[in-house]
Amino acid sequence: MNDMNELDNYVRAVTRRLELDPTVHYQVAREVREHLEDAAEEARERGCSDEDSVRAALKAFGDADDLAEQLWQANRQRMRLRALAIWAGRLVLVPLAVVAAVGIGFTTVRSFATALGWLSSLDGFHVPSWAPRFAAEGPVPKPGLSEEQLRLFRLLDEKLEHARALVKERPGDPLLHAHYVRLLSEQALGKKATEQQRQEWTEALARGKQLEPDNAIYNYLEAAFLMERGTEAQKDAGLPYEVLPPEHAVGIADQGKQTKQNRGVRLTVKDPQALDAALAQVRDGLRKPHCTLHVGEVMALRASLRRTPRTLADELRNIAENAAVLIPHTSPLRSLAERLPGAAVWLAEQGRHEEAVWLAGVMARPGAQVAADANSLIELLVGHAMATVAEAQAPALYKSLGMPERAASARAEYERDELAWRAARHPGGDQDLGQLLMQRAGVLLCMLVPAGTTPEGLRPMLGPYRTLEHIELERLALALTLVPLVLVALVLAASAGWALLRYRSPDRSPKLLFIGWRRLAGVILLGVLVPAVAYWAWTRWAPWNSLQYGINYVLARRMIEMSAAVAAIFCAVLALSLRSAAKRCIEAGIEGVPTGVFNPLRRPVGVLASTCAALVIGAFVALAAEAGGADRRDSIIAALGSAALVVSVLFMAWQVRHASGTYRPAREWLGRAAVPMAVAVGVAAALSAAPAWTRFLWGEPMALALILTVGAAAILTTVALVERAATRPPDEQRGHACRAVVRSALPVLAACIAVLSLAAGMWLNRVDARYARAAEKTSLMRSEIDMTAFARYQKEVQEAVRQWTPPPPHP
Amino acid sequence: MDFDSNLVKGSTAPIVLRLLQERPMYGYEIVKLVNQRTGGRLEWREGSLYPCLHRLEGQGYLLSRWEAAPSGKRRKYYHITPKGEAELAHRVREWREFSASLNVLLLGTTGP
Repeated sequence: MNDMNELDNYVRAVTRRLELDPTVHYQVAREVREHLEDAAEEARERGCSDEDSVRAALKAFGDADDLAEQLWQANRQRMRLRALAIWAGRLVLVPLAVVAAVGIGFTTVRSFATALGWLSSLDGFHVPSWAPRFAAEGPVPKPGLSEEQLRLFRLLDEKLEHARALVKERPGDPLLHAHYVRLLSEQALGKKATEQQRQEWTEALARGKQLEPDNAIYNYLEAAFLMERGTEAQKDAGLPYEVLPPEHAVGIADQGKQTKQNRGVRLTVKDPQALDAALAQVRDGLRKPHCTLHVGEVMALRASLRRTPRTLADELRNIAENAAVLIPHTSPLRSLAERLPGAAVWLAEQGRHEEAVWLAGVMARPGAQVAADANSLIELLVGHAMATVAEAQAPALYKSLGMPERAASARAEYERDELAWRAARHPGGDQDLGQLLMQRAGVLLCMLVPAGTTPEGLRPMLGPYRTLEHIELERLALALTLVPLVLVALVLAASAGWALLRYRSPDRSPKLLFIGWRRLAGVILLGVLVPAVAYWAWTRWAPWNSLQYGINYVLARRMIEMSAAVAAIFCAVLALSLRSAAKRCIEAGIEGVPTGVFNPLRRPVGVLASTCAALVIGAFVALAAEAGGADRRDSIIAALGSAALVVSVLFMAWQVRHASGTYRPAREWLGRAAVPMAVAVGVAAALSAAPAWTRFLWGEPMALALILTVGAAAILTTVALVERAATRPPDEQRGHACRAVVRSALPVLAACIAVLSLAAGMWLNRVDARYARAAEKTSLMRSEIDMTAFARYQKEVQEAVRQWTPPPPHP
Repeated sequence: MDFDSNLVKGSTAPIVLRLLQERPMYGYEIVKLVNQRTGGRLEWREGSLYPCLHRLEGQGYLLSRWEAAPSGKRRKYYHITPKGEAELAHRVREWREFSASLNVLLLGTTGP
C-alpha cells in the first residue's frame, strides 16, 4: 500500500504542472503510471521485493522535479492551444448556437403570429390571444429614403391625426387631401359626431372641390352627408320594385326569367333644405368626368415607401392594410345610392314632378362613375351595387310618374347591366380554374382569389404565394428540429456541469476532448448537410416534387417529407456527435466508454418503449386529423409520419440518457415514484391509443387484442426500464467515461446547431424574400380587377359613362 | 560506460523516430528495445523519453493513440507520420556527415 502511495505521489509530483489542463494531465499521468507499473512488475518478476521494485522503477524514471519541468516545457504549447480553443468554443460557438437557434425559433413563432394577426384584420378569423403580442413589427421603410420621404412614410397610415398633419404640411396635394377626407369620413358620419367634427368635414369637402374641380367624389360625399342629416330612411312595402333573384336561387341558366320583389326606401324629410342642397351637390357631381378618392394611388404611394416584403407575413400585412384602406369611404356612397330613389318618390309626392323625373333618370349615374374609376374590386363592387339599386327602382318610379315606356326601357337597362355583371362573375373555364385552385394555389390564394378570376389572371400569382406557404412550413420544421436539439444540448450541458461540480479531482472530473477538425467536418457534413441537401433535392428537383402543389393539396406528403428530414437530422446529429466523442475518448485512453450505444439492434427495450409512445401520439394525431376534416388516407399518413418522428426522437432521447450514465439521485427517485406512475401512464396511453389505431387499420374487432398487446408491452417496458435503472450497481469507470463522452460531444452539437440554424435560416430568408417580392408585384390592388373578367365589365361601364349625355337639368 | 548526458539528450529524438519507423510502440516498449539493442550501455533516464515523445508529437512527427496491447492492457501507442519520416531521413543524413567530420578530426580516419 505504501509502495502505491509512493508511486501516486511520484506521478502527482511529475505531472503537477500540467493540472491546468485536466485532459492533458489525465493522459500524461496515466501514461507515466502505466510505465512505472510495467517497470515495477518486471522488477518483481526478476525477484525483487514490492518495495524495491517500485523504488527501482522510480529511480530509473529520473528526478521528479527535473521531469516535471521537462514535461511542462514539452506540453506547454499544446496546452495553450487547447486552452485557446476551449475558450473560443465557450465564448463564440456555444452562445452562437444558442442565439441562432433561439432566434430561429422566435422568428418562426413571430412570423406565424404576424400572419395570424394580419389575417385577423381581414375579417372573420379567430386569432389566439398571444398572437398580437408577437406581431409587434409594423411596416418598415424602404432603405435610402430622404428625410421628407421618411416623414411621409411615418405619417401615411390609417390615423386621422397623421393625415391631418400631412394636409397641413402639403395643402395643395390632392392625393393626400383625398386620404385625409377618407379617414375623416369615418368620424364625421358617425352617429356620435360632434358639431366641430362635422364642421371640419364640410370644410375638407369644400377644399377638395377647390383642389379637384373635375372630381365628383366630394360632391357625392357631401350629398350623402346632407341626406343623412336631413332625412330618415325606412324600407316601405308600399314602394315595391322588382329585381332579378340571386343566381343561386334560380340557377345561372334561368337568370332573367324570374323576378323577386324588394321594398323601396321611403324618406321622412326633417330638413327639406338639406335635401335640396344634397340634390344640388348630386347635380354638380354629375357634370364632372372623374369620381375617385385616389385609394389606388395612395396604396401605390405607400408601397413605394415601404420595404419590399421579405416574408409571407410582410405580404399579408400589406394585403390587410390595403383592405383597410378601401372600406371607410364606400359606406356613405352606398347610403347616398339607397336614398336617391326615396328622394325621387318624395319629390313626386311633393308635386315636383319634373325634378322627380330628372332624378329617376340620373340616380344610377354616381354608381357608374364610382365603378368606372374603381381601382379595386371592392370599389367596383360598391359602384355596381350603387348603380343597380337605383336602376332596379327606376321602372317602378317611372310607372308611378305615369311614364310606362320609360319604365320598360329602364327595366331593360337594369337587366342588361345586372346580367353583364353576373356574366363577369362566371367567366367560363370554371373547371380549369377549380383544378388550378385546388391543386396549385395553396390556402392563402384560395382565400384571396375573388369571384370572376380567370385562369390566365390567376397564373402569375400561383408560384409566389404557394412557395411562400411552403417556406413557412419549412421554417416551422426547422424550428422543430432545432428546439429539441437545443433542449438535448442543454440537458447534456446541465448533466456535464453537475458532474464538473461533483467530481472535482483531476482524475475523476469529466474530460473535454476535441474530436478533431476532420471529424467535426464529417459530423456536420453527414449529420446536417447531407440530409438537408437530400431533402432540398427531393422537394425541389424531383419531377414529382411537392412544391408544385399547394399545401392544402399535399399536406400529408409534406408532413412525411418534413418529418423524415427532421428525424434524420436530429438522429444523425446526435448519434454522430456522441459517437465521434466516444471514439475520441477511447483514443485518449479513457476506460469504460460504452460501445454500440447508438445501435438500435442492441437496445430493443428503448425501441419498444419509443414505439409504444409513438403509437399513442400517432393515434391522437390521426384522431385530430380526422376531426379536422382530413380523409382516412390523409389521417393515416399524418399519424404514421408523426409516429415515425416520435419513435426516432424518443429513441434518441433514451439513448442519450443511457449514454450519459445514471446518477444516484435520479435512481432513488425512480425507485420510489416512477414505477406506479409509469404503469398508470402506460395503461392509460395504451387504452386510449389502441382503439384509434385498430379502427383506422383493421376495424373494431381487432381492438381488444391490440389493447391487451400494447398495454402489456407498455407496462412491461416501463417496469423493465425502471427496474434496470434502479438495480444496476454504480459503475464508476463507465460513469466517468460517459461523462467525458457527453462533455466532449457538447461542442460538436453546438457546432451542428449553429451551422444548421445559420445555413438553413439564411437560405429560407433568401428564398422567402425572393418569392415575397414576386408576390407583392402581383398583388397590387389594381391587379385584383385585371386578373378577373370584371376588367371587361369595367371597360363597358367606362364606355357607358363616357357616352352618357346628362338630361336637361331641372329648373 | 556512462555517456555524456548532453550527447544522450541530443540523440534521443532520432533514436525514437528510427525505432518507431519499424512499428508503432508505447513508451516502455521503446525503452526496453533501446536497452536490449545497446546492451544497456545507453543508460537512458526513462522519464526523459516522454517529454521527447510529447515534443515530437507536438511538432507533428508522431501521432499517438490508445490501443489494446497484446497483454490486453490499453497503452498509448506512438506512430510515425510522413513528416516524421522526412525528419528522420534529415537527421540520419546530418548524423552521417557530422560523424564523418568527427572521425576525421578525432581519429584521423575518413570511415567509422
